[in-house]
Amino acid sequence: MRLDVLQLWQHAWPSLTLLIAAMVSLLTSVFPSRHRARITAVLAATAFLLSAQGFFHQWGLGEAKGFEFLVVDPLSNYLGALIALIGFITSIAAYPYILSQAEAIPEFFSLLLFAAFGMTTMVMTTNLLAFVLGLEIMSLSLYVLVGLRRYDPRSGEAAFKYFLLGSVATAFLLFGISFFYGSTGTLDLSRIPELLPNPEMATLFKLGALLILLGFAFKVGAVPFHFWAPDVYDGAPMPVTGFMATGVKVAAFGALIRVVEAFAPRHELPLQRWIVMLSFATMIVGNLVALRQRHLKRILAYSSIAHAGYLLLGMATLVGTGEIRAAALSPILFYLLVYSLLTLGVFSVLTILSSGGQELNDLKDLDGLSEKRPVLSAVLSVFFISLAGVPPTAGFLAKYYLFSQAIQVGLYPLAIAGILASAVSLYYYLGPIVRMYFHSHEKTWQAPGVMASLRLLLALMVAGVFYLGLFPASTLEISRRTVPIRALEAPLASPSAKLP
Amino acid sequence: MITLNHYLVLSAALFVMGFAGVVLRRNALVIFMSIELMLNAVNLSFVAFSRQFGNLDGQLASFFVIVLAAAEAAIGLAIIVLVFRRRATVQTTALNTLRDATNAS
Amino acid sequence: MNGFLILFYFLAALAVISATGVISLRHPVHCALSLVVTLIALAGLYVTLQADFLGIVQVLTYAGAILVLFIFIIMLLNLQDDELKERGYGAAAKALLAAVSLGLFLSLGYLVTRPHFPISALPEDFGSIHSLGKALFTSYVIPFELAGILLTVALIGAVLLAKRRLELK
Repeated sequence: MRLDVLQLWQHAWPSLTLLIAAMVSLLTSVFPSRHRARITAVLAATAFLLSAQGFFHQWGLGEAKGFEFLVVDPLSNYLGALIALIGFITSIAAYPYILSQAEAIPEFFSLLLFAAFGMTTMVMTTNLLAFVLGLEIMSLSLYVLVGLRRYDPRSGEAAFKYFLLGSVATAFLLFGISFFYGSTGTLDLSRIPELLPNPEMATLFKLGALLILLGFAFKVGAVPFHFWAPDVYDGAPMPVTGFMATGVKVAAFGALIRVVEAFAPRHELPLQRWIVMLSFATMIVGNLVALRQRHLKRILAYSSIAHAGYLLLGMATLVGTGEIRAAALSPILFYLLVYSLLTLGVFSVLTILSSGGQELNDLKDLDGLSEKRPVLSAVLSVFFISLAGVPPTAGFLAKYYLFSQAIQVGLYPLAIAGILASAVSLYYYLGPIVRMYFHSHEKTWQAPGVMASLRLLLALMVAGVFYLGLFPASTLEISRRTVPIRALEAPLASPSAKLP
Repeated sequence: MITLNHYLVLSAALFVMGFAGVVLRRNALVIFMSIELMLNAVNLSFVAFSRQFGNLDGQLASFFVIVLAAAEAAIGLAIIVLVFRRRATVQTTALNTLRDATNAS
Repeated sequence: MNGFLILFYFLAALAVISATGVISLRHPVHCALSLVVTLIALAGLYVTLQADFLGIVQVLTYAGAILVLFIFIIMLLNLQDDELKERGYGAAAKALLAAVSLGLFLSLGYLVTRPHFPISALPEDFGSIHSLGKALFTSYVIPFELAGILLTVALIGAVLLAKRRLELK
């Protein structure tokens, strides 16, 4: 079978753009120049924007195209556009930060592009081998990005811990994939339905599915596989933490949707019970432990764990329907969008505050910020309040859709736990706001002025928080029409499709 | 008669031993070698299943696992060198700067 | 067929004993050398599974290249004797770990022996360079390219992290 390169380019160019930009940005080191950081930053931002535009354009076409290892469908385009936008915002917000470092490393932007390329690969495939390769491209880039502050022992320690636990998780994932292969004879998830269920293989299949799920649970930071996240988030450079908290979650949950789509019709798998247990533990532990944290990045790490719990709740809803239904899928996709927007908003502001060469870390560092930087404080407060899920903002609506779907499927205990947990989260999200507005100013915090482009971006993001909160209809419609390839083809291919 | 199950049991044994090594050891280099052991167990089961089905997907997958192991080894050892330069130790117990601070700082 | 079985048990025992060495020997160089023995035993097992070329690749890249990298780094770090002492677990914790590992192994072993796999005859060129190369460069060309990108990232990352010169301002 020959690969039609032109056709591949035609369908996968938004993702390949990231790869090409990554390679080109490496070549800039051939010409040592004072402007190298600026050139690579502009290149990266342009590539991310172009790629996001490409994914979005393809989404509009609404068609699906499957190659042997790549799938281009509305789901991959939605997630790809989201990943590219995350990269865009990160690269803009990180630029002053990178310049302020004791050792400015322009390769930051190349690795960012590589990581984003790996993420898009993860969501653009139903083949587990290609998925693992994408996952590793992403992970290896992130290990290096985490350790990029080489003179800072905390950064190295975080990279070490992330690498160690990440490779153990990859080994478990691969072991699970080998059992999956052993019980089905294929590495392609999309071929499961056509393979006859061999009762003798059921135990092996179950074991494989369990190990694969464990690998995912680690990557999204679900309890009890979350212990790496606070340390790694804490030690990583600020913009990298933001990129990890959002990009990795989008890519891993995107790939998990594909896995769940393939596994859900197999009723011998207690998939829903597994995911419900994970979600339960993750929501409770994430939110409760966050209450006790004193470091800003650790609070955000546990917050991201808690949000992984809410998303797993969405996944449990999705599995409960037995097949992929747009009604259960769209709250997850909407939540991923809103969560990424809010978390990136928080991290963009924190990155600005850390761009004075000093990494913002302790909660105390925020004391009295509202006097010195009133606009930034207000912006940060908006994002925090929205993350807590307070009504007129996007965070509330996203949670509302997620929980109401769960209730409709009958997952009452889980939905109630989620609602209570997010009520608890209000406390630790309000903590930083109280510090900014009601504590007296002690430390002379030095942070430079904000670039015009970053100001514009932050303004747009704040507008987005309210826009998605007040007028969600059109965005929800997009997420509702975003379905994986099989669902798109189902009315034609599936014999069980109802005739009018 | 030799069956595939022989190979799978061996693969399970090597995987568990590798995992035990990761948990047991404190020397970062040895921990990495234990991870290599786990990846090799994965490869063995891939190859065994490939033999069973008579399709090459499993063997090809294990080629890619070898590539992946090489890439991970390169990055992992670079991280060890980075940490060693700072702290002059490869003991994982020495890496304890980042932790949950439960008492008020 | 009996000869096959003897060969299998010999190689399996070799792999398990040397793997025990990897996780229990004190000096990393000894661990690395044990690992080489495991890898070569596994290469032999691949050959018995009609994966000849994979066996060769295993010896060349794994035992030859990856392990040399390990040993190179061990030499570079030049660990002193007191650095090798591990403040590990006590005897009780070690026994617990051994028990947990044994339980894990028994349950895994039980699960993988549930279905019975007989070994069937295969086409002549199964696992040969020809068939693998053909698959790798036709239907597997996308993963092949991805693997190339993965190695590029590893290369760049390793250089970035480990280069000596800190270009501090």
